[in-house]
Amino acid sequence: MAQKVQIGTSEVAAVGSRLRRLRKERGLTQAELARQIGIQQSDLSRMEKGEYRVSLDNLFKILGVFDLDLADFFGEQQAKAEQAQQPLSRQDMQVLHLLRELSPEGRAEVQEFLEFKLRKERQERRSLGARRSRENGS
Amino acid sequence: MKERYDELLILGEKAVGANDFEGAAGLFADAECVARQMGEVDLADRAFCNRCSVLVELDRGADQIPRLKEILLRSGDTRNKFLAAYCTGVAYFIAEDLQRADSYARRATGLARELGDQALEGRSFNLVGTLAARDSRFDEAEEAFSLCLEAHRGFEGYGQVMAAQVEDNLGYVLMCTDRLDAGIRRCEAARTVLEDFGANHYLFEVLQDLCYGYVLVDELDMASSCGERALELAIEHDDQQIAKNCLFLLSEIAVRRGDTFGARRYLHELTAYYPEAGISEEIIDVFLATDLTTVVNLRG
Repeated sequence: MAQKVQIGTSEVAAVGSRLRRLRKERGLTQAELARQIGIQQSDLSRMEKGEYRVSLDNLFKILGVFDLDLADFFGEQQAKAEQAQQPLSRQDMQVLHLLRELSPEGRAEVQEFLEFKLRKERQERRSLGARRSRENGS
Repeated sequence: MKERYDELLILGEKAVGANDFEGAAGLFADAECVARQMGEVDLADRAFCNRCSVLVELDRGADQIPRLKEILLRSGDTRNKFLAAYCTGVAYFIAEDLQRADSYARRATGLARELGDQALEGRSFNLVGTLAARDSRFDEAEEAFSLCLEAHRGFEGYGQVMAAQVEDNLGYVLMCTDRLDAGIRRCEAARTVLEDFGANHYLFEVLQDLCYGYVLVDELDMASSCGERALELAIEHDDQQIAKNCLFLLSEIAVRRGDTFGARRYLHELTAYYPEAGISEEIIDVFLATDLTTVVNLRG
């Protein structure tokens, strides 16, 4: 499974700055983009500053406006996800090979452990992100 | 005739309490006719404002804005002016004109204060808070919802249901400002009240917020049970916004559990609400690859 990338509260600002960059690359003014999305220009301005959370409806509109530049919109996050979809490495293959040798019960146990480990790591990343946000005063 | 007028208003309010908004609108319209026959402008305004408060619930308030504004300017009755300002605020809110909505909601707050009526003050604070939350102004929303809860303190009966909704709003705002445990406690308290009253038509938003909170604290079983129930109720009550939010949250839960197949299933359901997007697979990949729980505003 592709490893998800956390966007903490501080990363709302990162999404905002990517949105601004993408808008400028397209040669769009805030007013023009806001009109395309169907929101107030002031809301778009706050979104770009990371002060504004978007509704799902507006998120879909933004994704629609930028069409297939989604990787660009989400920047590194998307790149990491794509990396996770690349062909299996030697180590991946070894793990898979070992897994196949296990009984169905053993495989279920390993899966359970992996899910636990993944949740724990995500939690740690989230705590770290939150701590960094607090330290940065954001 | 005055007795008939009073009777119609009481029946109208009962209909509102029973969620029979169409019936209530008809009763308030009849009351307005009776008041006109009596030549009582203030009584007619009161009945009209009551009807508008029902029409905004039915999404038909925008047409009444000019007349509501006229009452706000002309009337010498502060209670009618409050109702006119409040209904105008709600009507603009539904029409997505948030700046105007905020301006009228604040005007209504001032009028409620002038009247010294706690219940009306609470209503207008709730509107101010709702607008602020929608606009991601969470500090202002927290202040307004806290003031609203103060105004609702000690209310009995159906007032407790209204207070529970505010408590839930406050809980959501706390979650959005990283006070997850406090937010969840508020929403759980709201859930208890609404379940006790069997107020399922308000319960699904609380369950949605609880789902969100439990996702953020990584209690995925709790999150899933709240989210599934919220989705079921939202669909039953035809609330598309909350249904979409729940599908988004449930997909997030599935991803965190490592169930990519389940996540895709929820996301396919979600993207079906956005046929105009037309690039659903790419969008699904974005949702699968990125945790957007702190980017999306469930009140947006």
